Amino acid sequence: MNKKAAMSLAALLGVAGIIAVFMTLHKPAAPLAMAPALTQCLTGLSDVGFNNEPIRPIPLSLPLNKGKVALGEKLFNEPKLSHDDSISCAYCHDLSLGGTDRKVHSLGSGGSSGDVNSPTVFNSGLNYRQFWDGRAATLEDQIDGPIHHPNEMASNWPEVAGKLSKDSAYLSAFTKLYPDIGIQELSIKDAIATFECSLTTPNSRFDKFLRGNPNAITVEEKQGYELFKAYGCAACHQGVNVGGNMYQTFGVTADYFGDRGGEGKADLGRFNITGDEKDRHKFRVPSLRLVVLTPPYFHDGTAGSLDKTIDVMAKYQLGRSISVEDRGLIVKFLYTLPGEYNGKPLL
Amino acid sequence: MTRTQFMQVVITLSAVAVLTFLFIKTRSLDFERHTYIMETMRQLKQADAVVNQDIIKSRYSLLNNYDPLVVGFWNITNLNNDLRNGLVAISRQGETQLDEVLNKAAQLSAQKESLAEEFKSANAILRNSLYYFPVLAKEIVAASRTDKSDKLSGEINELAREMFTYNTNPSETTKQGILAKSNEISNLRAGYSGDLAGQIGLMLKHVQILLAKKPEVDRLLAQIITLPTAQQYDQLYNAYLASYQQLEKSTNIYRLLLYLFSVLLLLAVAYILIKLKYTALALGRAVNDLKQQKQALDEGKRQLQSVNANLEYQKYAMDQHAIVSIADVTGAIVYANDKFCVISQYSREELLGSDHRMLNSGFHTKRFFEEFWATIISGKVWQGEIRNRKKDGSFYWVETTIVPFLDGCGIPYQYVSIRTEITKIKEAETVLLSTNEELEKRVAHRTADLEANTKQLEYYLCDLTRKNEENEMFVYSVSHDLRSPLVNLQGFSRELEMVAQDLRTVLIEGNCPPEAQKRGMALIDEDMSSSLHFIQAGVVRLSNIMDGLLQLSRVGRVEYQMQNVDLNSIVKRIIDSMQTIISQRCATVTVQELPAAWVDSGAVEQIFANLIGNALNYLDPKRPGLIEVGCCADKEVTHNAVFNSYYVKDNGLGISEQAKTKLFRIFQRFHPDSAKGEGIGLAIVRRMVERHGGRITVESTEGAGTTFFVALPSQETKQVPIFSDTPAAEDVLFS
Repeated sequence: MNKKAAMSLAALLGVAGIIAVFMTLHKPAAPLAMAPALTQCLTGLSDVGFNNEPIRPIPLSLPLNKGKVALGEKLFNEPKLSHDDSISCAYCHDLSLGGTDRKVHSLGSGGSSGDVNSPTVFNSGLNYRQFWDGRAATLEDQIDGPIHHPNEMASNWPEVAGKLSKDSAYLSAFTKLYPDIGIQELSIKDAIATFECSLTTPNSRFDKFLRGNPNAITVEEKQGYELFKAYGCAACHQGVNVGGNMYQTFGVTADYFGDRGGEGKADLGRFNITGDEKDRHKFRVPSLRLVVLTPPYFHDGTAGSLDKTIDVMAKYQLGRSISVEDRGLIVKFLYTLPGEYNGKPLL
Repeated sequence: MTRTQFMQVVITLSAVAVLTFLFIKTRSLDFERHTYIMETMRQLKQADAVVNQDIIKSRYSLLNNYDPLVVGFWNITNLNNDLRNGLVAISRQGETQLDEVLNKAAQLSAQKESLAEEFKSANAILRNSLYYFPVLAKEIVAASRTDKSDKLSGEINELAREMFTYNTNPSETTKQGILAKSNEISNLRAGYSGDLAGQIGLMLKHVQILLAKKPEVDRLLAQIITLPTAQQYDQLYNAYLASYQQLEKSTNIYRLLLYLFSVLLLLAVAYILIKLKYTALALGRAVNDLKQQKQALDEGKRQLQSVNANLEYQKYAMDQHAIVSIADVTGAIVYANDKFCVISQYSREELLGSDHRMLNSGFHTKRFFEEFWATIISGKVWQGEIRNRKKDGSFYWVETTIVPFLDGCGIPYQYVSIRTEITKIKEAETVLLSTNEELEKRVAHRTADLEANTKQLEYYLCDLTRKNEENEMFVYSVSHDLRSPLVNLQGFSRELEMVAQDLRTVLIEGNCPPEAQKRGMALIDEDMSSSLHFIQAGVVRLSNIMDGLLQLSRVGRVEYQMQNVDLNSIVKRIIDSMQTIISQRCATVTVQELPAAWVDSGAVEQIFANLIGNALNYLDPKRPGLIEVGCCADKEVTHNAVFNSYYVKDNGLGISEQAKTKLFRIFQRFHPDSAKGEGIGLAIVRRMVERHGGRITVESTEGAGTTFFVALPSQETKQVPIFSDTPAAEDVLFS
């Protein structure tokens, strides 16, 4: 009888233990959507302290998983991501060229050509939408574009995952960093996006100026900045990325496309996404952080120089003329914006 | 698993199931999650308010970048997702209503974001135009001052004023006024050229922009601010709270049940624990007991090991000698030693598991085996001889002992059989039996003969005894009856002698012729005297003979008092009484140490006196007499007595071979000259010795000496010992 009683007691205790384990397992997992880099940039930034300047400094460091950053960098340079193993992300987003290929339209897989100018990959994590037309809300979503685009990488995720799985180095790296899911679309995208988030260019001279060093930029550059604001450039090119946080119609005060001589599908901008007449010719305002390093300009890559770009902007967006002196000063200001990557100044 | 164990498992599992069910039901009210959801809703509402605030700030240039708006909408989107995920996990009660409200809220947020995007674009344009319009107006006025007409600057100033009014308080009237002014300026523009005309054109463009964008921005602002997002969040909050409270109510019931059940379980556990404690105490005691028992057991084990070793040796010894097998209760063989295998000719594999009946030779009866089984089943040892059959069909006999091994209840659990082969003995027995039968036949035959003989003998013995008695009576009566005539004869011969004396006196004194006297004298002295002498001598001899006969007959009749007699003293007394004759004969008598004898002392004295007397009487006068009395070292043993062999040895005349045969007969004399006597002594001696059961023999060499050997019993005998070769009594008298 006693032996049985002991058995019953043991059984009860065992059940209590199981319930306890169940309780801990049952704890609600806090749903975590991956915070975009912009959120991280703004976290901890107070609204005050920068004299209500339209431009804000890039955070000096971001809390990113270093292993994922390294893996993402490797994938970023991996031609296996394309169908014919010919091009990698870096092919069009050359970090040594300011994160672009400096071509009007990038050459895709099989020598085909993309239909818009490649934006820089630097600071792309600070953009609130991706692509010129903002059709991707996150970098992860953005990667789908070039991977599948027949004129770019012309591949698909199962193919990419299959190719990478044959590489033991990738296998071990993914197993270590993504023990639950291994090599697949989600993990590849996450690694690449994490790497791209790390591609910020902080500590520029202008950021130093914003952070309170009045001598970080020259008098002329300061004048350029004042003109930048006064001309109304800063109405759109503002925020931490000096742009990249809003849409704007291309051709507010004049008919850009008419003047250019006709428009293509890519020129419709967000209209292609929403079908809303209000969104015709609307594009995501590009960042000017590395603008001095990433010609040619505009989505169509038609402006080869900053001077021309500023002129186009003044005419079609601001509805005003700009003097050569003022333009020069503004360009001088623009040269204070590129910061450092991996501790090395880009400029 | 027994039924009770099964029931216990079922009860335990049921308790567990109920507990788990109640627990899960209780867990459905997750306070942590509840807090999380409430916090998320609060944050959502706050983020919404912040967005509204930032929109207004942007509108009035209090915020110069849109990053906070971007972040605000990211927050709203993420919080909406969090809320949706959080609600998905909780109870689905009132789900549809809650989902509807949640979807509406998300929809409103998306709508707001979309409006905010429009707002951002429009606001930027409006802002730039608002900034630039006065600058441009100033530039145009300054440029036109140099001109002759001042109408343009006036119009532009008026337009600027109208613009300002419109900007602060937009009204259709003001708008119409601005449009009118714009037309006028447009008309005036024709009068200008170059930069100024371009600038006027730009200004007109900006006027259009301002007129379009100002109401658009205001409208967007109003729409964004008045979107019922906050109300929607409140509604969400209320809907959630309602469903939560409902859940709480049901959960409270489950919780109460869980508590009750837990208390019950705890009570059960407490009860079990108390029982366990008592059990543990009992166990502790039991363990101590067990320890002691174990020590005892270890001790026992050591002893057992030595005993086992001994047993092993014993078993080995047993196996060497005996045929050993062990059978279980059913009779199946579970062990057989090598000898068993060898004798039965079956292999051990064949034997093990088989029944002993496979060895049955059919020799013994059914009853034999029934008794056999009855014995061993009752736990008793069975012993007996069994004939078994070998594998080749031949038979062998075994002396069998079967020992049942009993369990605690005294019931046999196995039988150990120990057998010894006795086939040869059995064969010998068979031969012996037939021989025995033969012998018995012969014995029977012989016994019949013997019985006949015995009857004959008994008859003879009776006859003999009767005759003996008759003889003795005859001798006695003859002696006695003869005594009086003899006394008469003696008396009358003396009378006759006295008469002869008287006659002589008569002759001498009487007047008788001398011749007659002479003749008479001669007759008296010679004839009569010698006749008388012969008569007297005859009478004496006859008297002696009769004395002897009486003596002899008395020897047969006297009752003997058998006792342990010291012969040394008796022989010494005899020799002392014979000192006179010993010295006369110049004889030397030596007496060895004589052992005691179981005899009648009077008889034995007579025996030795006779023998010693004979020895003295028949010494050889030519040489000095040497007489020795002693006892032989060797004792004679018959079937019922032990005899000392005494001897009386002399170096006298000896006895011829011829005489030896008649030596012990009555009235025999061989040296009549040497001594007086009637030849009756040795006969009496013999008779006396034989009445003791003894025997008298003689060894003698004529002229060298004689030795008489007398065998007398050395100790008490129950019956009178008889030498088988003793002559019958009549020998003495009649042979």
